Amino acid sequence: MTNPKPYLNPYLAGIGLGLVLLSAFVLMGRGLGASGAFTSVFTAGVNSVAPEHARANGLYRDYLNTPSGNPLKEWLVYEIAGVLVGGFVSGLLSRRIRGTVEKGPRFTVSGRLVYAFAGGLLLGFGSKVARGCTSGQALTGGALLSVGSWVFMIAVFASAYAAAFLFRRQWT
Amino acid sequence: MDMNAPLYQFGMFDLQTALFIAFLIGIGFGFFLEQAGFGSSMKLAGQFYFRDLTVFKVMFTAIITAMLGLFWLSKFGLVDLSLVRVLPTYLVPQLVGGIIFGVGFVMGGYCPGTCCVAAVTGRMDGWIHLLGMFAGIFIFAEAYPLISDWYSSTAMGEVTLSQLLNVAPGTMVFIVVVIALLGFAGAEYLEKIFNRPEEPA
Amino acid sequence: MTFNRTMAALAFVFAAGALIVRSPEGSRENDAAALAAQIEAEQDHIEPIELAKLIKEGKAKIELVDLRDSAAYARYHIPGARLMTLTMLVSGRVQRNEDIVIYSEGGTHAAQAWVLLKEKNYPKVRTLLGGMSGWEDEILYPKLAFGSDENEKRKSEERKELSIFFGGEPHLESAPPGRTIQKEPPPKQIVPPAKFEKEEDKLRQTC
Repeated sequence: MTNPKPYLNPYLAGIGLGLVLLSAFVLMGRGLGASGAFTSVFTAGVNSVAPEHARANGLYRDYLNTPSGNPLKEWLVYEIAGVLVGGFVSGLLSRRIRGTVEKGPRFTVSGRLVYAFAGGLLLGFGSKVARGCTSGQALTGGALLSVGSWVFMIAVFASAYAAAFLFRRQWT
Repeated sequence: MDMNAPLYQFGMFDLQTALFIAFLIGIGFGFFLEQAGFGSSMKLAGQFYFRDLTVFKVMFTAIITAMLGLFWLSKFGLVDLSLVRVLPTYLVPQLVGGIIFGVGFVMGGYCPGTCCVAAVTGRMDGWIHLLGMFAGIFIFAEAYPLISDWYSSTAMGEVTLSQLLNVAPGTMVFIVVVIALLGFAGAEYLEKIFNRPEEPA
Repeated sequence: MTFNRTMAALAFVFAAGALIVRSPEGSRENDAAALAAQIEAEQDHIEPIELAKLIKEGKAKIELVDLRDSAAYARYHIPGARLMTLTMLVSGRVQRNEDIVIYSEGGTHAAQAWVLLKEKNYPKVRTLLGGMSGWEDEILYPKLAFGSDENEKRKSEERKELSIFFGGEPHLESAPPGRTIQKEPPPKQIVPPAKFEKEEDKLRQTC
């Protein structure tokens, strides 16, 4: 798409996001999340290929333990489906849909994709260790003033700033 | 005044409706993430080179909006706060997890929510990042039996900052908002010095 | 003023307000007079028979709380009851929107818990009239008469069933005179009917 619209005022976007989070609190008594949805999807996959292994593992078992028994019938999975739709609609309306690989000028596409995979791996692992990610822990737990969530959030920022030096050729 | 919220906890609607609401809330979530520009890993990563501090601005604006909203809705008797569960604290795992997550964030350029937005707006690196996340979850799940004790260590329960620091909840809210506002002022200043924020290419 | 500054000012105003009011707890609606009125109107308790029937029929979505010590609880507790201390109960161990029934040995601690929870604006709290003593007398070891009256017979039959269901032993008043009253046998601990266990329809909180 050509001629993309400029991004929304970050504070306005933040208020919008905050109101979405607030509505989750008011309607459901819970906040947002993301990493849990991926675990549910992955668990469903493992369960279809190797169900005995899934049942034997404490983590998969936990994610299989939904009210209906189907790991995909989980609040976060439906929420992430909505994220895909909402993101797409926003991209469409703002003319920002583009088949591309985001990277800095000094880096190759293949290099970027390797880092994207490796970064995703660390992110996925870290989010499980921390019991959440930026949506679940930082946003939700942050708004609820949960101690562990703030610890997580500060650790993420500190660690990312510290590691930024290693990846400057990818982004700048 | 009658507190009938959180609605689901008061039995106002059933599981099916709750899942549908999840979908609607997700739409709002994804919409504002993309509107902020978080479908772009370049923009997200810019935070950590002091060029584009949108991540900080959006995140903390969202936090204080929801935090103030909850406080005042509760104060006016519209929400029963005791039914909104504070996330439990597991100090060391969350610290270690945060450190790992932070490295992954600046390496991959996305977080779980934003990589979905990126993928769905055409970014190939978003798709690859998604695959990487599944790999990370797989490694954790397989390692889980070995680390499950450590994973549940240093549990402090559902403790909030105001309980920990022994201040009134309202005081804690005030402190957080002031810190956020000062942070925003600082962010505006830093962006002026280092560079202008990323605009869509 | 620009949008940003307006929002910042608004945020500051709301935050300053929070600083002043200190707590997000809503205003107290229950004062002493209102609570006293509820007690006098007998809205503060539930009778053993009513509770027993609710449990047996499996219809109750009641959060049943036992305030005694763990030894007493282990010997016998009303099926479905959760053991906790008074401190745990008033610190929010039970969610505010539940239908709560509290019992202790006689009823003193339960009554105290009732007042404390009511002051925290818990909407649905009741004590078990007579506590465990009352439960023993009314449900586990009722003194039943099987006279000639049809109505009375039916009621006694009902009470007898209840007693056996809950692991007790009914005393039939038609025992021959002169027989000494034996010491009551310890009640059998039963597991409540499946439906009484609350359905886990609640969605888990994953991140």
